[in-house]
Amino acid sequence: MFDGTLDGLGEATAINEGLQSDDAAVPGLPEIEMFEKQYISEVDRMRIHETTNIMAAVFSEDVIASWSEMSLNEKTDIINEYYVKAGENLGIDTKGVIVEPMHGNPGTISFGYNSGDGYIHLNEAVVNDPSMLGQVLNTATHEMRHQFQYAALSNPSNFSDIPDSVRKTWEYEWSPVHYISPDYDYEGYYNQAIECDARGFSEYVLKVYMGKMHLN
Amino acid sequence: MKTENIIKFLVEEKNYDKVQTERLAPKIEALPEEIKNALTKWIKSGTVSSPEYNGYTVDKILSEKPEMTTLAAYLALDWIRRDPQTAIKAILTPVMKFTPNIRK
Repeated sequence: MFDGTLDGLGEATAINEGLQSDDAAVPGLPEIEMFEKQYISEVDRMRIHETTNIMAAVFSEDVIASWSEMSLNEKTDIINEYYVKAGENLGIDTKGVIVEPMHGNPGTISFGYNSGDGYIHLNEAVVNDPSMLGQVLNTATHEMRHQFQYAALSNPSNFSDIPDSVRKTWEYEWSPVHYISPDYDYEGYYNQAIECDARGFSEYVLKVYMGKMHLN
Repeated sequence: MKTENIIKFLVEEKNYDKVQTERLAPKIEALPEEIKNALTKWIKSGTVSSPEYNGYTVDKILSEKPEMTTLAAYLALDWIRRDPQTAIKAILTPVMKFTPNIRK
């Protein structure tokens, strides 16, 4: 059963009601603070704000209340709706969500991945577990941000708020030759700019969403 | 054991990805003696052993992250030694990959 908390936010503390002004900040998580310091622009704040609104509209109180009773197909449809709508709003190519079995030991399994073709893949076991709803939202948003990074590199003129220095770093790290796999170097993987950016964005959105929904 | 020989062994005998492994030379080189000795022992004998830092050993890391290569677990143990708070939190966080098909 969903217990009114969203697993996966770690040491989340104060919850803002949302990004209600340009100066609104959501302190608490190291990832968010790092994201704030990195380069966050007013346009990026708006992206966070709008993504949060879409998340709140799709994962409404009613949906949260009935989440544990839904079939896998129903859950997939709702996650897909969020991913596609939020992606459209961001101006990126979010084709859809594929929920499928992923191998791994309990507690260590991957939540999902972005296959680089507009689709994200989520672990069926995680989607099926009502207590993991927060992680599902976090993963979908994290992978959406990776899709955003890709779009910002493919069409720089559409995302002119992203500084050239950030774009160059993303371009370098996105290259298969330079990408650091967690299977080889977890510290290197974790500290890549593209991963810090995706973690910061998704945790920011989740934290604001939790504030809006009074979930903490 | 020289770092270049460790890398050569992992790529040629363990089928590690060459690009991913070769770039780790500076990190292998910088390992403290106790971890490097344990890594060398694993390479020579196949026996995984390691010192313990903050309750973590290479065995424990591999049990929590079975997708990691053994080399990655030794490097992760060194990360725990240097920065336990960040490293343990990160290691306990499931991976969300975006680049598939990177060969082990």
